[in-house]
Amino acid sequence: MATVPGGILKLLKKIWTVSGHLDLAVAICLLLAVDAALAYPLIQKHLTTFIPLGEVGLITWVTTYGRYNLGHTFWFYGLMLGLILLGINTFVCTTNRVWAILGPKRRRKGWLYKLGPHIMHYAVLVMVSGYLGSYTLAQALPGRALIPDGPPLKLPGELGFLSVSVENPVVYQGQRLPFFDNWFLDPGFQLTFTGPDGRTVKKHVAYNKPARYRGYNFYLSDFYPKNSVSQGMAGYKTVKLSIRRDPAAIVYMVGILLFACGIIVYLADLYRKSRLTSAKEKPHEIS
Amino acid sequence: MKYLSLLLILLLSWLSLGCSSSETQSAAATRLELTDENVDPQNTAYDGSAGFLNVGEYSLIKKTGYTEVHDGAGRTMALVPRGQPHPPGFEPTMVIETPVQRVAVYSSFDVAMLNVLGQADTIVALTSPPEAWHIDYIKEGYDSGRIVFVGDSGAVDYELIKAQHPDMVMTWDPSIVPMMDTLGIPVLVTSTPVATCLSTQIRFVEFLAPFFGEEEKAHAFYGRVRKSLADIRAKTAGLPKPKAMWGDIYEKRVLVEPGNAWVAELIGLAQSDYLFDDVYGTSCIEVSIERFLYSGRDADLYFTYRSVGQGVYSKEALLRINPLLEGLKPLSAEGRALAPRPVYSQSADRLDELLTEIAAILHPEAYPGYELKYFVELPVKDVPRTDGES
Amino acid sequence: MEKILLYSWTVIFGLAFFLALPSKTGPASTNLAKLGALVALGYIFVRYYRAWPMTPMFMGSVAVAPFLVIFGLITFSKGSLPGRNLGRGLVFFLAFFLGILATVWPKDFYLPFLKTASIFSQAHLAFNFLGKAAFLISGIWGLLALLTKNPKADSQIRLWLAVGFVFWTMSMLTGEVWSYLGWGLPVVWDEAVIVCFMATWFFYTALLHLFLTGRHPAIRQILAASGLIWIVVINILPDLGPTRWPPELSGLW
Repeated sequence: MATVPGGILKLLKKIWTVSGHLDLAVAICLLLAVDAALAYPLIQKHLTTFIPLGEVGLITWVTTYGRYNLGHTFWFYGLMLGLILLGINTFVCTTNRVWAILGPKRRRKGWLYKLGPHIMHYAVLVMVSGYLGSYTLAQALPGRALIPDGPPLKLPGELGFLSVSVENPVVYQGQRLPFFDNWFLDPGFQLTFTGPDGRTVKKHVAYNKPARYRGYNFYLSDFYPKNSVSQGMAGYKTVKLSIRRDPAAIVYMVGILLFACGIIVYLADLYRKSRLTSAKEKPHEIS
Repeated sequence: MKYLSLLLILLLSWLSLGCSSSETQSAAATRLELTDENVDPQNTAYDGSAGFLNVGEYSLIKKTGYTEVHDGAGRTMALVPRGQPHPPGFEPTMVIETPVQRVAVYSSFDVAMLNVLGQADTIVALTSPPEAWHIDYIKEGYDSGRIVFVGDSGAVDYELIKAQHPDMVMTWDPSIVPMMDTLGIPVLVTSTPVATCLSTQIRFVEFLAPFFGEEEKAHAFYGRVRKSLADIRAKTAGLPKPKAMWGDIYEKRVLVEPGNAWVAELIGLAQSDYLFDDVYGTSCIEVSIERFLYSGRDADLYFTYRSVGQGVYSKEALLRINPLLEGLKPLSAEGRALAPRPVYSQSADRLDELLTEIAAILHPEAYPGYELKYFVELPVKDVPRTDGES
Repeated sequence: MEKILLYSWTVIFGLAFFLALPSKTGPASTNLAKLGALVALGYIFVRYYRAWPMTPMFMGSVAVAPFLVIFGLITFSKGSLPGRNLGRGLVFFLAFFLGILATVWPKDFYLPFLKTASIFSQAHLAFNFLGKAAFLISGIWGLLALLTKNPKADSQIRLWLAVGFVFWTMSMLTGEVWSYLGWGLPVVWDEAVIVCFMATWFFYTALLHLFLTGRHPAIRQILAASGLIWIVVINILPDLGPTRWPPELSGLW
């Protein structure tokens, strides 16, 4: 078995140490803060350049909208670079510290409490990977519109057909927002999926309540008319759905949960420390 | 600490480099920077070589064998040369064969853009009856029987549309898409969730040009409008800034043009203050009535949505429709209120003239003797009608 | 109704600030501030009541004031740290300043939209103003640390940084869940203000790391104090509307 020359090993060790340095993390975070702050007026002025990011995916966006509008998208490349650097730094730094806590013969009493911040750090890595995955791997079917109780829509592959009906719509009837009178809060759309085998599945879809079917999420992106009394300018009852399959969504959702767990462990550690401190101080106070 | 300082210096240099190089890039970018006089219109064209064009929320992306189109509703479609195989993954109604030869059109703006491209004779169906049109090429189309009125946009007769065999339907109303899908007719949505900015208003024709193979005509139009913008800027520079507002009060609702809308941008460009400049969003965006009335107390000019054809002949008539408007300064005897003539909405192919007219309204001192063609300045009281507009 | 409440709490916080300056009137100023916080909470309640079940628009700055005062009263009422009175005065001044901003540059004319009818949207907003309030408190402690050179101020900065960071992160995470449920994306680029959220998160991540690890004491105190400017410029100014001067009085009664 070939051995790694000592010089290379030393260099690798140095790279590992430098890339996990805490000052590096602070510097990258501050620069990312400046980069994101610079982006605000640029996005505000050129919002339409950024809206398609979710629709066309990261790679297409970077090579089209991003590339041809560098005057106001340069910060996005800075953000990506910064996030990559921060990801590497976080991984190295956190791994070093976790190793110090969990490494062989190093576990001490209360070791779990010490993991709180590290769980948060790993959670950030998981989340950022999830975002990256979502923007690169998510499959967005071309936005589709359907008519309630109208002809079914043929979905790709094994998904079969989709039709929409209306059941129990919820209408705003308060007086607090006069212009909202008779507007649909929940238009009550029921999606009926008919698989190739003829089996039907019914799902409710509303704003913020996507329907899930065979790995695809069906989001209600718009509907007409908005008002249950007058039709408004749009003439026809229509349901506009955004259909997405995002295998990475679970990754960033796990990251979010993991982060929340990290916060809980961290707060528990703070509580434990304050208990220990007050227990130590009590005899002193009595004396 | 040394890492911290070093990295700060390095990354700040990178950021500043990014800024400077991006300025160079922007000259070749596809967006129109209205403040940059030196942008060559040729550089903004989609000729396939750049492989990408984006005009506001609309875009064209060159792919192998076809061009991917993103319309105003964010729908993805394919442009394919007539007779060529359709790309996989696109339903038949998501493929448009070029050059397009027959079009059903909803909006008068789209009609005007087709005229810019010299393609008015491709229009075969409209959602406004012959008597609603004030432009000759449409009247002639109706007279010759080439164009058919297919019903009001809220109650279109689909069979009539189908009978006209259009290659595509251009519409602002995405709610028709499912029905058109069942009829097998591709739809191009030409409205967007966010109000059209001035740049998009001018350059929309460039997005449309590849559908008809008329890129040169799109460049010519773009150059003409750019020149008029440069003239407006030159003529209005240094003049005192009037305050303008654009919107209306309807039953329970107040709608205004947001600051990102093209008229708002034009008002700003023509050395004027737009009073809803801070409002962002869709065209005809809803705001609270308090805000509308507050701004109205401050305004010098008021542009109403309602045209003279909708019974708005005087400030008095406007106040009869909306007594709440009474607090608006432009509706007092000293103020100025303007209503669009019906021909205004049908004249986007003369965008240079429209822009000049709005500038002349804002700064009459810069345009002595200018006669309004597209707007009417409302008198205080009703006067007998003499212009024959209905 | 909202306007009466808004003007009232602004005036009350202004009075509390002026009374906080001389040390004799300290208790009166604290009591006034408590009253102001109650009125401001009433203002927030009315805004929520009107918009419910949707989320009221552009509340992220104006709703900071009562929570800032509550946090301020908690942190500056106990113990005998030097600068405590000054800290309290700064809190009342900031609350007054926020009220002035909301009065002269209001952005209350946007109407809520249907997609904000979500528990995650509500949580996103609530955590947002709690986070801002905590960050402002840490900024005030940063300023006090620089002015009074009190070594104990460091632990207070760290505490409020951590509290603010937890709220801010929760605001971002609930926002992401809302974004996923509403649009199917982790980040929706329809609003430029999204990058202001990110910027502040990165800024305070850097600061928190400096404090938790005890590195670069001088830099971290300057950064903590400059957090006051950061929050105002990056997170409060974008929430402001057009100038409305003099403030609207018609229709109040």
